[in-house]
Amino acid sequence: MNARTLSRAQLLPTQPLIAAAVLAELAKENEVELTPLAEIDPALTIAVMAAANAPHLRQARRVASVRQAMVLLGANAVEAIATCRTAALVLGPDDVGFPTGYWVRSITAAAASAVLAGRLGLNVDEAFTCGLLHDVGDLLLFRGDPEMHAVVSGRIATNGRPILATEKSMFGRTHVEVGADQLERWFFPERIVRAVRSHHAPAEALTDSLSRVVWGGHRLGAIIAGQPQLGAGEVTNPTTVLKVLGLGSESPDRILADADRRVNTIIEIASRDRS
Amino acid sequence: MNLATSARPLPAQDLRPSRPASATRALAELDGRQAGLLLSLQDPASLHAEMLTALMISNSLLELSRLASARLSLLEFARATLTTIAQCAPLDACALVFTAPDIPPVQCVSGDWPSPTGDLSNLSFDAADVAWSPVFGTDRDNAIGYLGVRGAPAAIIDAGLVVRASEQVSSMLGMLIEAERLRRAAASARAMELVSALGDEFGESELHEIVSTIQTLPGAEAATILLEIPRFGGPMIVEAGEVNSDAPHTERIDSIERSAAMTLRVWWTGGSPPTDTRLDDIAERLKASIGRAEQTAALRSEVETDELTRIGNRRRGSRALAQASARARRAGEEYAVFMMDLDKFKSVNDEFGHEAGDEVLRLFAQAIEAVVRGYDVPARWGGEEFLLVCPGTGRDGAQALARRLLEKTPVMCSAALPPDRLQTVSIGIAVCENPTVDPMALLRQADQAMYSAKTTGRNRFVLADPGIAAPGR
Repeated sequence: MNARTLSRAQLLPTQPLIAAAVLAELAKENEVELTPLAEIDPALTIAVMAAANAPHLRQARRVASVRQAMVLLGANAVEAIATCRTAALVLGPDDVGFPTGYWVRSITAAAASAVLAGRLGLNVDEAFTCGLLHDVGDLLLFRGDPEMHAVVSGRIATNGRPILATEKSMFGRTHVEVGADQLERWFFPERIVRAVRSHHAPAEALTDSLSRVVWGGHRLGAIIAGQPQLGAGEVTNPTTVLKVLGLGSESPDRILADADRRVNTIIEIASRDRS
Repeated sequence: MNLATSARPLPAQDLRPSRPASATRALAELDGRQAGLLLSLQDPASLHAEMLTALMISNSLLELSRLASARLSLLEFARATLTTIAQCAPLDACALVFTAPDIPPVQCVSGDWPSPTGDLSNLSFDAADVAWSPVFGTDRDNAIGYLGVRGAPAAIIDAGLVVRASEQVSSMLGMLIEAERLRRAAASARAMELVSALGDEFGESELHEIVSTIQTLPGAEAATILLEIPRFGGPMIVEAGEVNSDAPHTERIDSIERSAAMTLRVWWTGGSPPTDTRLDDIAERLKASIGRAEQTAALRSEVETDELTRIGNRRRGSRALAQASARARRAGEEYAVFMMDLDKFKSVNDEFGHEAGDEVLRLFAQAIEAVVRGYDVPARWGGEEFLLVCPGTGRDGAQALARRLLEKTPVMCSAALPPDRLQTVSIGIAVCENPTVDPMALLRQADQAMYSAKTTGRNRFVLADPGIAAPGR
């Protein structure tokens, strides 16, 4: 992907369901409530976190969750961001859109990552944000070159080819590289970048707790979504996933049910009647 | 808009547990609902576009106004402006360029912007998808620069995003340019202060601070100082800013006393300096300060040199010890102190005369200088006793150095003595690993260790507490 297409690809619009919800909130005269929407939409989450981590704000530490970022920026800035990202969708009829199932994959991985983080006593907000953005590289590859993305996806689907190797041979880069590198340019904290970079890695290559959580959330999320996005030979069995995370004594069914509930909450937030 | 361009189903490698699938069912409907929703959102008959455009512009202006209180430098302000606009409006790229007297031109881009020469110095605002507005003026002729956006929806441009944003930027820019000018004007006073206060033992860090301040003089973009003085052992160059040797610049070469020379180069915006930089005053004062420092260093060198051996005397040794101790406290660095005494030196004088004895002392001083590093300080402490202070040296380094001294001493001193008379040395070493230790206490430890080396057979070194006594051979 050249600089021009990557530059265009970075201007991410909101999901249509979120755009409709943002418009409904903006049309209200008071009590505009954009926070829950910004938490569950990848484009809003990225824009809010990139703004909160912008160098001119001179943060001592990089902000790692969208909730923290919104507290830092304030309601007006969040409204500006939500307006802009929604406008990118509504005013951009030639927009290429999203890869099929992208948002479903993102919210299920986010929900599962949050549940796993909760079980491990880690930061749930951070795990949710990181899970939501784990596949942003796939979105960027798609928006940079949708035709090529369709060819790559076809080869993976019909020939069962490994995802990363196929992307590397066709795009020259994998979606984990593109996503992690771009998050780095958006000033995301190193641990989030690392977790995104390693979500397809072998379990033994995971070096920190957030990477393990997102790695597991990605796999459990794919089960909930019913659309596994895993390469040949990757661990998918939930019992094995939990063992890798040191949660071997937990019931996979119970964890999946908890993640299910979180996903339902997300759908409810996005679909809520705001009239 | 295509919400279903590609699908990436992969065969599930294994089993999924049986469980309630409430979310899975809801998720399966989601993409279909999204596609339908998008069509209605993008319907030109809807009022969404109008509301979004108005909100977008008011948000942009509100967010830009916040930058006024953010205490930003001019360049930071330009970058933050573009970040803010890109955050508020959907566009491919935005650019802000402007020039003002006495400050380097500001050229900032967010995103991908066309430039005929491929760099920021020549951005093009003429492309079809670019909308621009003058900054600090009404048209291309009287403005100091431009704010432009690329690839923004026509509705946003028509509603005045660029024009109103550039008005907002212009209203803040006047104050920021003035602040930058004041900061740069203050730089000449600061530079004068720094060069006047240059200490006698100045080094690279002091020169770097000076050149960095010169680089912020009004109109200056980069600066270098090349200093050639004997005690540095070779030319030292310090620089600040982006130096382009081929570009026109001001060069001033000054000879300083005692075969020292200074070359000051400054690169200016537009190639020539503004009239009120005080650069000549600064250079004159710097030359005087360096000259004074060199005179003092030469004088000190005379006063602190042992007449016979031409290495440091007791005064130089004491100062080196104090300097090593201060550096250890400041930087947490360890250092080693050697106390050395030539073995049976009295018999050399008795048997071969004082001239031979003096020659042995000179040769031993040369032996020390042959094995130490440039920043270790050897000194004749008195009679046949020598002190050596080694900054940044721990136990291992000190022992290795002691072994080299034990080997070198008889070889060097043999030139003054008959072949059957070997001159050896006994060495006591104390290593400071705790910066709070009094240097004089360390000296006493080294002295005691040296006596211990004497009493246990000579021609060896002993490392003071914690009691490691290593034979010299």
